[in-house]
Amino acid sequence: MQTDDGQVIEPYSISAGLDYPGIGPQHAYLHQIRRAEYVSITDDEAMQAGRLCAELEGIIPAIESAHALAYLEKMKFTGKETGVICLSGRGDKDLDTYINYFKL
Amino acid sequence: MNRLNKLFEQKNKPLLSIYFTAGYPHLSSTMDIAEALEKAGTDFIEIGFPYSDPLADGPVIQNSSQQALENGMTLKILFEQLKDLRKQISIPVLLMGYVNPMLQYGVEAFCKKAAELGVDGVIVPDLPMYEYEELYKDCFIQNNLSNIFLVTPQTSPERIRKIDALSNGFIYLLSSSATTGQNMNVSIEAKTYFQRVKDMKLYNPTMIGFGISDKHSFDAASQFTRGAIVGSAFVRLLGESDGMERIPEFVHSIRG
Repeated sequence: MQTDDGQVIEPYSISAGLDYPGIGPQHAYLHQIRRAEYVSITDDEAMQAGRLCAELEGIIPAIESAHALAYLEKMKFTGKETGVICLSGRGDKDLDTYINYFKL
Repeated sequence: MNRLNKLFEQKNKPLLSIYFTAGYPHLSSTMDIAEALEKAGTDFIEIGFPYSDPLADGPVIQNSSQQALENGMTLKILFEQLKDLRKQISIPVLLMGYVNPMLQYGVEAFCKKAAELGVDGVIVPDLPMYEYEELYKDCFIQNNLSNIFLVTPQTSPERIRKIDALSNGFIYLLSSSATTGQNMNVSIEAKTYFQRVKDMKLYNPTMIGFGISDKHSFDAASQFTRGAIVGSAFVRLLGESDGMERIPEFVHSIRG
């Protein structure tokens, strides 16, 4: 994320790990060869999905991973697929953010 | 051969170079400062083009970069401000900044434009040697621009030799591995490092920068090199209300 002059633009994400203006070269490449599809999720969708995972599975996902969980609802399944979601980090570190967001 | 090369060939007394950030304290300050520095007897100047993430700079130059960006400075505007550079001053001029704005502008276009304006070289602390050699060296040479590499106390002798082979201006010795604006500690270790580099009898001349703020540190540095570079101390002066008027006094205080 940068201006035309090459200055870094301050990014925004509710998730500290996504609050970063760059993107890894592997992701850029996978996107370019259309091997992977990249989508976006709002703060609210991610937070709701994170909470649901905690309620249903007893696992508090990191807010980064909660973005992936949120996309499950938007996908169309035939019933034959196996879905894999990587929970890349634990949500203990994000408890403050969860508590403040849901006013728990 | 550019103005920088000629300067190093002629002058025998220690050379004083001064850095300032383009567009600071005001967007239009750039050439006024350059002219005042030449008039006061600075041997060459380094004009910083500001970057949002200046990783080699301490708080003083960081703040000046931030202020310059808020004032609206961009590479395009800087090049516009330098359009009469060679009608206004005759001392060598280097541009100093970070690689991302150059990439966005286009490195080839950047080199061409800089040469056209009469710029003599570039200092880009985050441009790695490998990328310079593989991608940009030819472009710099074609445009008669010196690329100035940085050497720290941790740089290996092999790498210093390689830098020497790739350089055609001078080599910039960092007084320590810290950011700009820390006071240079003229310690035994620092002196040993400066002497070690001096004893390598490099093909290129060397200058010491980072932490040079007054006559004492300038003289200490000049014992080992062709001269020294002052940055933060000068930028701090520019931040004061009467900074512009005190430029001659500042330069004379370092020269002694």
